[in-house]
Amino acid sequence: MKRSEFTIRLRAGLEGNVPASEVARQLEYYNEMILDLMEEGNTEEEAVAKVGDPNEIVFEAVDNYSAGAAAMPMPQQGEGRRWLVIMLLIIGSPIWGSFLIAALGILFAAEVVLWCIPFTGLVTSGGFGIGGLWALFASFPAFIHAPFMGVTELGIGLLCIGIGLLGGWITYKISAWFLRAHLALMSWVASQFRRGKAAFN
Amino acid sequence: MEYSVLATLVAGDSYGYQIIKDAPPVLELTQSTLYPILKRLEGDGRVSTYSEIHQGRQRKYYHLTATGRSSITRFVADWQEVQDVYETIRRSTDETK
Repeated sequence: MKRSEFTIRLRAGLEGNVPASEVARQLEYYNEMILDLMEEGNTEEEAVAKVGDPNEIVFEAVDNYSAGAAAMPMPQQGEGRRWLVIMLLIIGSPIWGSFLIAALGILFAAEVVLWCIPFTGLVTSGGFGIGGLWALFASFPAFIHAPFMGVTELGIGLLCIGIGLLGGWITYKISAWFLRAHLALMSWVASQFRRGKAAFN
Repeated sequence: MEYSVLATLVAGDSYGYQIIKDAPPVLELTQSTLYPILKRLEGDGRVSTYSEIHQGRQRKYYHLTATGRSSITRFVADWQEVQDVYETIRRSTDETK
């Protein structure tokens, strides 16, 4: 790879991901490195190869920049500003309060949609299980009254218990997926608050 | 690794490629690993930079500041404490054998 191609790829990768000043700084740094390597007797291609893959440099730069930005100390708010913020929050509560209630409603609806499938599974399997047990116990007096009815009742009871157990097992298995989806949703909601707090500070 | 980079500047000002050559080979310092170190050192004032024309192009030089020099001194002084901790850990593993 030629130096010009390396520069184009590095610039394209960095732009938009790190500030413009950082893009210029990195380009200057790696350009200087390549020229120094060439001065040492390396060909242009060898020098570029020794500097490394521009994509990896971009990934590393973005990682470092994100880590650095996250580690930046938050400026301390003055006491006066804090009171101003509290006042603004109270005055603006009819607006942000409505949005908050709407957001909570959407979140609740999402949770209901999420959990309705395992809940349906649980209720269905529970119904089959209880019904099956009921039929099992009822089969004994039915057998005394009329043997063919008792045997049929016993068979249906066992069938219902089997369906209930199978349904319960399937519900238990798929619940893990829904739990993961629930945790992902909660994590996303929490990240929105964290991001909002960082922007606010 | 930071202190090894700083140590290369004790003898005199240097530039990126020369720092890599002067750093202990065991560190396996590369161009991409050196960059964030130099940026951090410059950011916290342990090195300062200036540019000079070299063979018709700009070359950035790194200079060890007084803060950088005193940070090396502190690191060397702290090393004795690290060695004491190491000795304690080593003795404890010897005793369990």
